[in-house]
Amino acid sequence: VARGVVRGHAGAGRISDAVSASRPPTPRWVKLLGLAALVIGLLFVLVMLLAGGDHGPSRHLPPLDTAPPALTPTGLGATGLGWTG
Amino acid sequence: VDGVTVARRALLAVHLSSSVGWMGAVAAYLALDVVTATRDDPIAVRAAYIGMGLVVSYVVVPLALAALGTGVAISLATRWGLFRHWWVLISLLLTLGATAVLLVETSTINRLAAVAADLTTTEAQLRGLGSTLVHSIAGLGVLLLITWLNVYKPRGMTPYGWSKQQEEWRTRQTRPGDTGQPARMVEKRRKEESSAS
Repeated sequence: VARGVVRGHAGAGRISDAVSASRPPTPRWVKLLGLAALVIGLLFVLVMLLAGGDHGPSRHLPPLDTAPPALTPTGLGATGLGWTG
Repeated sequence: VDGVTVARRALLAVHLSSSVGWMGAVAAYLALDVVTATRDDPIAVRAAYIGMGLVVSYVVVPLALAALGTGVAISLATRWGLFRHWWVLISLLLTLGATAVLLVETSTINRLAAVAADLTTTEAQLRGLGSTLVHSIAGLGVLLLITWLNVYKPRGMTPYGWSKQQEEWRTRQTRPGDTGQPARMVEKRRKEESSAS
């Protein structure tokens, strides 16, 4: 692709990039990142399917009858450790 | 230095502080997470879960929101824009994704902390709680990738950015006497021409 390159446009060094006559192709590093994201996404879906749709530590938690207790960074509750709701 | 420049620099300082702080807080969280995943001592594990709840709710989440907010503000306030350059766009998407996962995980982490803080929770139940190690390692990896993008700013304009630049270029060319070059380059060229003659 023939490109007419004019540098110095907008006066901001690299921010200006090149002004080209035709739309520049997607950079290779963007394509590689996209491919990596696709592979990770597929792996995630595969793990979710194998784990039965549940992942993470929340699967170990007992179901909550009430709303999660509020965190208090300085408050000490009845248990002496806080988070007593 | 005008008021706008001062405001931009202040915004940049807050953005850098919150972004680096976010990464540091995740590293501290990761240390506690490793304790829950590897140690057998119930006191250490209980304390680690409680620490994780505090670190996430009072350090990681506020810093993440501050980094996201200031990042968007800086992009909009400068020529970089939000959607013009691939590195800005990808940084934005990664930050949005990391923040979304963080906000979802925060409730789970707070529940883990609440269960660990309850003294009626037995040692066996404590060991069965699991850890968030995979999430915190992946989160730290994403933050490192965002940092790399922001430091190296790899070249490449999005189709939107390219068309906006073309528009601006055409607008500048239609102005009489405007070469589209910055003032310092015009001045340098003038000096070169005068010295040559």
